[in-house]
Amino acid sequence: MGVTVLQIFPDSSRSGCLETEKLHKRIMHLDAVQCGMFTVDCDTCYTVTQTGNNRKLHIVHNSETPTTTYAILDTGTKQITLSADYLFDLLLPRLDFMYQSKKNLKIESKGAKYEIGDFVVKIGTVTMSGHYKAILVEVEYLPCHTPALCWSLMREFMQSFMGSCVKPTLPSYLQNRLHDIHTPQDTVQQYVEKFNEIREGTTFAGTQTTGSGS
Amino acid sequence: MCEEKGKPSIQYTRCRYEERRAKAAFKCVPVLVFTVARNVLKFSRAPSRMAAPEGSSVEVLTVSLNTLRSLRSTVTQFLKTLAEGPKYENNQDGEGDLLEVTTKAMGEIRNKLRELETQMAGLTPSSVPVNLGNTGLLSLDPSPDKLPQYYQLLDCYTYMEKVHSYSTTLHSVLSANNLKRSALSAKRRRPIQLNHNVPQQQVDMLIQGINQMFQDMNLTLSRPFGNNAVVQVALGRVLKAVVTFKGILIEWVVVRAHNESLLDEDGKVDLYTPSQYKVFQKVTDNANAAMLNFCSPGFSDLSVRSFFTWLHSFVSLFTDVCKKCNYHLHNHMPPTWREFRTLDPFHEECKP
Repeated sequence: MGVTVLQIFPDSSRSGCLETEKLHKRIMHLDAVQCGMFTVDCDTCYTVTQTGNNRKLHIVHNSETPTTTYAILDTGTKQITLSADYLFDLLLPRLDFMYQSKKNLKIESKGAKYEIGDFVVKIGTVTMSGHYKAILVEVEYLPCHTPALCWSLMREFMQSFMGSCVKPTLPSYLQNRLHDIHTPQDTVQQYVEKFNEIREGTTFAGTQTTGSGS
Repeated sequence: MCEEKGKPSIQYTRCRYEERRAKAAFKCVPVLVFTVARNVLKFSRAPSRMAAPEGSSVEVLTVSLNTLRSLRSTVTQFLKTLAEGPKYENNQDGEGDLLEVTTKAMGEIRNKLRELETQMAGLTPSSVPVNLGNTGLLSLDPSPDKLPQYYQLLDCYTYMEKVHSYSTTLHSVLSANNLKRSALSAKRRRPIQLNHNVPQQQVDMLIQGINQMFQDMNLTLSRPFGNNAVVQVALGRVLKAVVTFKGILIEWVVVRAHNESLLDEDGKVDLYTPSQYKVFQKVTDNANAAMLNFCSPGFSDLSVRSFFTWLHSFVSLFTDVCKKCNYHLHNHMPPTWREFRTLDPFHEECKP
């Protein structure tokens, strides 16, 4: 598991498939090899108790780690990640007195996966309850595990096929974990962050918002 | 010997009695000779002998082997005389003849034995015996005629030894500046150092010294195969490597990613499995090339030290840009090549 960076690709036409095609073509020019599909989905539950503090619980599945369910408890200021077995999904209905899910908030990113050298690129179309929302590109560099070491290298790679939408500064999430070893939980948390941005609806202009959206 | 027909004379009986006593007294002689012979043979067979092929000791060994041979033949002759009795051709007194012959032979044996012992004292075993590990147990094979593996193994070692010593000599000859008279004489004076058969402490000291040279590079030494060291290197959070030594020469290098294990499923050091990442496969190739480049028989300490200095420069593998094209990536690879002298980073395609 290498370092993962997520990037929302600006889609001015708002059609989705056109821009994905464009990215597909560009990446194939870089001698990429397509190797299957991927899905990341996120369900969000809200607390029903009226104790004052409003908590969210994100349930995330990543097809890269198919037997794991990630439950991220979002208190607004702090995020706590729990990696559990897939059976955790069956446990959730028992907790409905605590957390209730809103069906129309189910959001997922789905698309093709490519390999270029030691890089893995996933170009996903984000849909929220069936409606197209944005294009989310995940880039992973497998041999390195510390964001501080390989960020500029990854930025150069991302700019090679996504152009100027890649900002020279580190994403805010990675900025705080610059010298930590990257884990699958970090990837999932970045997804949740991006999904929250997309839900807020500020992404079609292609600008990166820094707020966590909670 | 005088005797009447059918009845042995008293003198003859005495002779036989003397003979038996002499035999009993000299029973220890063959045992002693055998022990000495075994020791000498051990000297000649042991691979440690090959580690010091100085002309003088080889001569001493040949001489002592010859002495041993003549000692053995004298003992055989002596026993034969005792068993068969002295020869009757010369018409001398039998008793005097046997006594004389035995005393003479014994004196000869004593002299030869003393000679051999003095020569044995001159033979010094090599200060650094080759540790053959478990293969050394092959010498215990009671029937080497069936499977002469141990001797083949020794032949193989001798061959390698010669290759190493010739290459060392050749290196010192070729590297000398022949235009200077002093260079030639100075080189001759230095004893030839055999790099693949050095005491363990020397390797330990060297690795310890290198370990202290770099703060972010951690070296762990182990000896899973007997005498030869295996060094596990952890370089920051960038890479890990396994460096296999033969004596003080680097034999093999494998570079892997920081998260890849250096041990196999059984918990032993994995010397061969390459990294699953293309970057580190390339770095492994380059590290082996560098190891060969830095190898110099005359200055093995220095070559190991320069190799580790070179390997340490990979601490910035992902952060450095190529000196020539000023980019991180070329062909989706970071600069995997480091210049030997300057340690400047270059891409495989950009290297000068």
